[in-house]
Amino acid sequence: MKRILAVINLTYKESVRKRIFLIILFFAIALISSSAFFPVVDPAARVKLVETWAIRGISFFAMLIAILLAGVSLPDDIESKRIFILVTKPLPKESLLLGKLLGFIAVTALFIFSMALISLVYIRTVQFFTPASPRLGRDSAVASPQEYLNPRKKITAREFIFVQPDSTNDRMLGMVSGNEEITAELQGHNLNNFAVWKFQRLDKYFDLKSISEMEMELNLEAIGTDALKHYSDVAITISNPTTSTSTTRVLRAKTKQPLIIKFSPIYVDDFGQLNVEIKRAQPDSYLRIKPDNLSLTLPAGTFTFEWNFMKTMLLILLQTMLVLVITVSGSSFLSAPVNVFMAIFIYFCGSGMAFFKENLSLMEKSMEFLRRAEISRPAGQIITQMNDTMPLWMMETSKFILDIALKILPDFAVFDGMDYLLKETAVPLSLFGPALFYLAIYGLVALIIGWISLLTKQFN
Amino acid sequence: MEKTVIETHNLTKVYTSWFSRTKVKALDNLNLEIRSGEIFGLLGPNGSGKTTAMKILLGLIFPTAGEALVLGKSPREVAVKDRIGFLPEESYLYRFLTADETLDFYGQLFKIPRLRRKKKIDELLELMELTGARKRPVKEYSKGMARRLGFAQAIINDPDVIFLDEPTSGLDPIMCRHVKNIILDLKKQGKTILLSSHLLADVENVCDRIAILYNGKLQKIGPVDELLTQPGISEVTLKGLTPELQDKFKNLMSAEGVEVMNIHSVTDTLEDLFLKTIKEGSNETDTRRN
Repeated sequence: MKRILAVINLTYKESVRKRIFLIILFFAIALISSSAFFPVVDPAARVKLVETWAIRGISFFAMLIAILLAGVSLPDDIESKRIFILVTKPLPKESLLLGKLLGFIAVTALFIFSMALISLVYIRTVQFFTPASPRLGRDSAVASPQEYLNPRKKITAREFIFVQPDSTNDRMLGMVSGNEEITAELQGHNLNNFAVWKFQRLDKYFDLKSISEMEMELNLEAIGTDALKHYSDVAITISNPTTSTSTTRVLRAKTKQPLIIKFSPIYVDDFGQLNVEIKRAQPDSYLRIKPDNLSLTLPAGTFTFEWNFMKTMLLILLQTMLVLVITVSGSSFLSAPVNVFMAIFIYFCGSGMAFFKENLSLMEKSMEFLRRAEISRPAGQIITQMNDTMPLWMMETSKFILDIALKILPDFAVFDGMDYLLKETAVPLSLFGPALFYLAIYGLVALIIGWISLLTKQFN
Repeated sequence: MEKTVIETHNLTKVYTSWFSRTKVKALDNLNLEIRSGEIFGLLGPNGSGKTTAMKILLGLIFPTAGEALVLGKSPREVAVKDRIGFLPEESYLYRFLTADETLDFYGQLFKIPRLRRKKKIDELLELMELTGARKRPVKEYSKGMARRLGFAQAIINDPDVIFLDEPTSGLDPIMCRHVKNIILDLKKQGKTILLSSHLLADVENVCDRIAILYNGKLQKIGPVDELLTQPGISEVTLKGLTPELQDKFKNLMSAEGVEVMNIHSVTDTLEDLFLKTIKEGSNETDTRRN
């Protein structure tokens, strides 16, 4: 342990005394502090903008530190032959690898949390000097500056049902969680179709006797059939499933503009159940509804923005640690430029994994279409390609490669807490379990590869 | 009989390029035995295999065939590394650390307790005449200073076996003599030293035994005196020999059947002359100051 601590200390000194560290630190502070002076349409947006730049800036620069420092450290030791002295000392190879890794984790953690503290003070300062202003998508006309950074916990429904009374296929059922693919479409002249969200055990989250008001957030994809009409009027019915007490409101829904609806807790029954139903109010509109479009929001305590921010920073640190462990292990067998390139490649792939997955799914659909066309083709006619797609064999090869890449490369979506933070909802602690597990698995594999590589390496 | 500390048996190293296209035999069946408490010199021109042999003995590279043992064990074992010290041909130090931090780091790798480590660092910096520069980063050091710091790190653990690759390279004659004295002191303390150098005078001055390698093969091995002695030829040093006496001396010897091959004045080595001059200069300065 003493030897590992010695290497950690050395790595820490190496990092903070390098010019590149100070340059990155300077740029990070300059970028985040300048974000308050960017032009915005709404003063509230300024606070959000500073918050967004702070999170994205810290994440990006932490990654840059991880890649540019950890990616070159061990190759530099090998290239400059300093490793000759290290290897002839009683320092086991695993201690060298672990020491380097933990040293860089300490440096990036120090960077992330010191930048987080600076950013928090800065965000609160910007908020303090920001006047009250109207907020888009809120039913309250004016938002106080204190409300800008108020994170709310998000609770999703237990069940989502799409009801089509006039159709033979009258019901599309699905659990909300894990069924993001389910989509209900309300269109045409029939206004009887509707979607229902059924909430359960809300008493677990709300102290229903003490609160006077509840809030829900509704995000719909809504357009008018007329090209000039970019909204759809919807009737929202909130009801108590036991007493059948209900309230209905007609509101105007627009795509990407969340509706915030406040209502009384009397609509939640003794079992903590609540139903919310949505219908179109006019026939000349289109609504596309997904199970996760509706959620109840729970107001958080006074200091939860800071806690929420720190949770996001912790997730950023876990993501950086994943890149670090891959980079440090890679540095045991790759030269500095190749290792840095590999780390950047992994970072970009990991960040764009959702895009790759979407492409894979599209590819699968096109291939399925081509295969069906192949089966139903008239005798003698060969169909292996549609006009606007690549040949089937090429698609199969691409899919094979993409499939393998998706299995090997890490997906940074598991570390994504930014979305919650920017939507002002509490970052759930449940994100940390999968993130830690993911980090442990990748970290272990990468460390074993790095260790074996160092054990078998000869230093010429 | 003294214990064997370093031994190699048919040690062979073949460097193979990618896809095994070209092979270079850097070391060919080398057999060595270095005994406890001796200073052993490894000599040879560039590419003779002495660095390769040293790297195998330090566990930096692996032999293709044969065996190398240090203190009776594989040099790759951590227990062996605990008892050895190594000064590479260039200092290879962390440029961002100070002398204090450098020695502290290497001391920690040997798990030397903090107080003992601090005392040892003070001693070593004093010995290497670096106390005044202990807080300066290594990047500001001259080559000689870095070399001395490199030497200090090699002996921070009070090792039993010390590997020195070109220990005097980059040092001025005064420091060179100082380092040679340190090497001889280490021998007096019972340390075994394996030294590789191009400076033959250094090797001659300090080594008990030497091995000469060429093309990866051992050409000669033995005690320095024994190898340098020319059988049947003796050297007589006389004082007050005038040209007349010189002739008489030659005649007398030839009458006895002894051939006088060469008579010349005894000269200092350049190193001795340099050191003497510097010492005189330093005494003069001291007198003027007083």
